[in-house]
Amino acid sequence: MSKEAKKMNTYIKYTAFLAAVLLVSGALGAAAAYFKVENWDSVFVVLAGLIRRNMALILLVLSAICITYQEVILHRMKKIGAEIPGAEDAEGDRLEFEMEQMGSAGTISSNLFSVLSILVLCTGYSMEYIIDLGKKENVWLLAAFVIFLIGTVYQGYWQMRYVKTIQRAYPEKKGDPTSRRFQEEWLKSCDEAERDVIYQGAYKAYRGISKLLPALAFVAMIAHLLWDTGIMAVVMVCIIWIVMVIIYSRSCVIKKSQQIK
Amino acid sequence: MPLENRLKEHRARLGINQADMGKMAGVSRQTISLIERGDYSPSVTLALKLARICQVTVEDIFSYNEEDET
Repeated sequence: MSKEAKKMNTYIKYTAFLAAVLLVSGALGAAAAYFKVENWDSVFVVLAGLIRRNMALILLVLSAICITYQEVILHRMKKIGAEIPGAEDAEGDRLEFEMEQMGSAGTISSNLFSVLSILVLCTGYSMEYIIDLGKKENVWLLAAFVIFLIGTVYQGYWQMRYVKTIQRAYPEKKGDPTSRRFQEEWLKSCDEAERDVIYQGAYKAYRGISKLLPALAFVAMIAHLLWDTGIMAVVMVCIIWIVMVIIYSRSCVIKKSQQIK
Repeated sequence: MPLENRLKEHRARLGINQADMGKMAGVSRQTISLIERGDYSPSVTLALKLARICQVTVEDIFSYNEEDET
């Protein structure tokens, strides 16, 4: 009886969860529709126009901030890395933790720069817009693309320098950052405790993205419904969603089959 | 953690530092530190390797305390 009651409870709980999701989704949809009817969405049009007109300047400032920050990070990492080989016990733990913090801050900054740059560039990355530009605006648009490319190339080099800095501090860490098998080689050179940290982080990322993707798909659908943003965003989110689930499930099956052989 | 260990004592007896012990066991210094602090339970393979380095049995280094299990 108790088992059956438990089963019922689970179903009721899930139904309540679905009802709550429907309620929240409905409210968000209604809010978005109100937003459109009241023409508040023009704020985004104005904002996008503002970013588009100042693309080169925004990218320049963004690049300057990120490059400065990441150079400081790398400098501190080199300094900590030089102290690590001689450090013992608590001092070693402190330095290695600082190294980890610095590395994470640099990696987040590097990826944040890439994402923000793409978002800024997107505002002017349209033939409809480019065709109507005058000579002067064309020069600024070209400048924005050049700054974007320089920033992107810098990020690539920064990531290589970051890997090499870690490899100098921990010579046992292997992997050529230009190689396509870099992640594999890196993981192979990690010991069991380090792998445990990587696996836990990866699973946490999987769980987080699993929750985010359905929400993003919903947002993309609402945006397409109200602002005709196109189905591309919905398609992209859905592709990432299904690919992620397939990779995860396939990996689990492969691992299981290796265990029973 | 229900797993207690005396790795630090055995390492001190051998007169080697964490980095050297890590090298001998094929793991990082930080992993040795994590085990000594009780923040990481090593695999059986690593536990056996550590026991061999210290020239004792695994039970001499690691002990399981059920009372600590929550």
